Amino acid sequence: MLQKKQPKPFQPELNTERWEAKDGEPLLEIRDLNIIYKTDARTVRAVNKLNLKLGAGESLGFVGETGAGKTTTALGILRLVPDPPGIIESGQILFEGRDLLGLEKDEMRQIRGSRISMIFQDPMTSLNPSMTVGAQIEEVLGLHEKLSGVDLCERARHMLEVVGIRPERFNDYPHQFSGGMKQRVCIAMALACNPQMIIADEPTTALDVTIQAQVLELMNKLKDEFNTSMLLITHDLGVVAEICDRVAIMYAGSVVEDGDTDEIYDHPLHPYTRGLFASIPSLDEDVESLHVIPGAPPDPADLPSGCCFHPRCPYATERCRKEIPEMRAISGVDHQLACHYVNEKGEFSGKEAKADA
Amino acid sequence: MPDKLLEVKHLKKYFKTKKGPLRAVDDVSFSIGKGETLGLVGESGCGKSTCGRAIIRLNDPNSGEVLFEGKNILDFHRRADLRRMKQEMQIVFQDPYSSLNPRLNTQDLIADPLVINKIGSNKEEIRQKVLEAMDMVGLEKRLLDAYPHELDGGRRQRIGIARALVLNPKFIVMDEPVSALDVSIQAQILNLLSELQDDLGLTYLFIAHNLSVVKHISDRIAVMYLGKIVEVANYRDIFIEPLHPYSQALLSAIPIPKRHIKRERIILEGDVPSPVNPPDGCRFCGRCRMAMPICSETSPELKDMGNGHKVACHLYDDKPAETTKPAENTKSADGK
Repeated sequence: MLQKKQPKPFQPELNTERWEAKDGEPLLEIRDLNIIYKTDARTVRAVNKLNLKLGAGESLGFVGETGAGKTTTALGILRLVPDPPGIIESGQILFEGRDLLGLEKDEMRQIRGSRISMIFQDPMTSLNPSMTVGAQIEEVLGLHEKLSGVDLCERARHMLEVVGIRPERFNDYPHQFSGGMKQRVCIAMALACNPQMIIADEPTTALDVTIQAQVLELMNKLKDEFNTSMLLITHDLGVVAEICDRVAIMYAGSVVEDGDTDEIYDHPLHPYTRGLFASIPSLDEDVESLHVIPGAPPDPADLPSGCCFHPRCPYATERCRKEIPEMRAISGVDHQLACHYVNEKGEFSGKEAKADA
Repeated sequence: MPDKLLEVKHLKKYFKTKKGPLRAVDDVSFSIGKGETLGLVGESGCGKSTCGRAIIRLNDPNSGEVLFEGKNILDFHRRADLRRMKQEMQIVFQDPYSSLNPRLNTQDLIADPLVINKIGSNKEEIRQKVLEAMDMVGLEKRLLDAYPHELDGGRRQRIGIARALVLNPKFIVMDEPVSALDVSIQAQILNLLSELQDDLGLTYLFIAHNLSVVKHISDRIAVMYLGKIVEVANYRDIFIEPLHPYSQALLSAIPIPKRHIKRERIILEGDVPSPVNPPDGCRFCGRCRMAMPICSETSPELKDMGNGHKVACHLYDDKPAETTKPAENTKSADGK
């Protein structure tokens, strides 16, 4: 819908309306999502009964180790899982009240880039090296917004300005930018259509720490300015502490613990989450040796029975080996986790098993 | 500091480019004591890996001296000398996914350095040494015949470490050995490296960009910026009281996995300039918030501010051995 021409000043709400939640309904809700990669030799369960909620305007940190299924989940939301070998087996992805898995391809194409956009990990490879950055921002705008040529250009220039790039660089090619600047271009592209939600897949992992600080500051600012929800995929708990309202910890294809960031950082309960926090070297304290989670993450083609974490868990019992723990909420706070040995009051009753267990 | 095992003096490594020499390492000097770990931190492109590689002569430096146990190894020209030197100085690479030959199995990968250096007269002896090395790095015996693609990143890196250890070196350059690994695996490898150091009396040059990792493993830390070392200090001092404005910004930029911590964050403007035509004077002056006129004219020298804490910054020109800081402490008062 084309509104009255208004090249400047730029208004974020110019072209897309905001979805309004009905009584606490989340913007995005994933229910029992299963995504597998199937080859003749084996079936990899990349996402395994995943449940997740993201409210409007909220930012959620999605944390897990390599192979935990974070990126596959993101691709699943956008229906971009490479098929073959990837198959979205079952589940629901409710976005703005609609199940994305039930949409036609055309409808999905309307959503991608416009309602949900994505920032990829590596800005060096996610930009087209043969197009100017301006043209790349115009492209996404042209696909989703009914804007005339002049307005397109104006808007694209404005987006560059928003992310802190001089608009004179409109006609520069990606190789003329540094890594941090390229990631800013990606952010400009992602925000160009004023999406309801952004999925940022390790947006600062490829960047240096001082550049990361610049980009994080920018993302934090823009998230509020545009009132966009954000799903931030990362393995860095420090980055989450910086910009996320809520956090979900993922292990072997499903969320094992999620909740308010303050709550989780102050009282991590799941043995995996606690192990994860303890294995990060601290800047404030000196320790002889770091806490170690023994073993390695499980092979997603051959997941352990029961709780997927049991082979590495110091508290594992027979029950953990057999029964898959249900997600349980701690009463009074925004904190859910899947562990047999935590009750509703948030008390942990597990006992450290013998060293060989 | 204990006896010096390695002393690097005025090391320079330039690469030729069409636009002029790329000064990857420009007049770097430091020393490492026996059994000590020196952490070398800096952002990508600052020359830390080149420095590590130049020290063990993987890339021959243009000039300077590298004294290993008192002898300048850059003077070695005879094959036998070089071979002996390279047995004592080893390197572990960053990416265990690309630094191992995918066509060799664990046994052959670890035996490789032995075969090259003609150590071990028969297969049985070599096998024995391989098994010893595997045991040291915590690799199970059953993995002898496994190929790299069958192993996870942590185990692959253990092979990389075993390959370095099998020659019984005294000094190992650790070139970002844990950067490619997940947090839980990273902790395992860091603990392994500490244990090996204690057991075998090894000396490390630990190159990394992750400051919390470097702090954990190092005795002293050197901060590098654009081919130069800007600050060297004890691992505690540099975190409690960074003197160089770049170190201060670098430390304040680390995301800390804790909430309720308010820190003053120094956000640096712009990017690291190109090392091809670095700025005159102090390399950092273009991005430095404390820059003074003198900074763009003369390059500051590393100066000892007491207790082995050295800094290269004009702010400290007239403050001999005094520890005043240009800005208030950026570290919060939590914890210790």
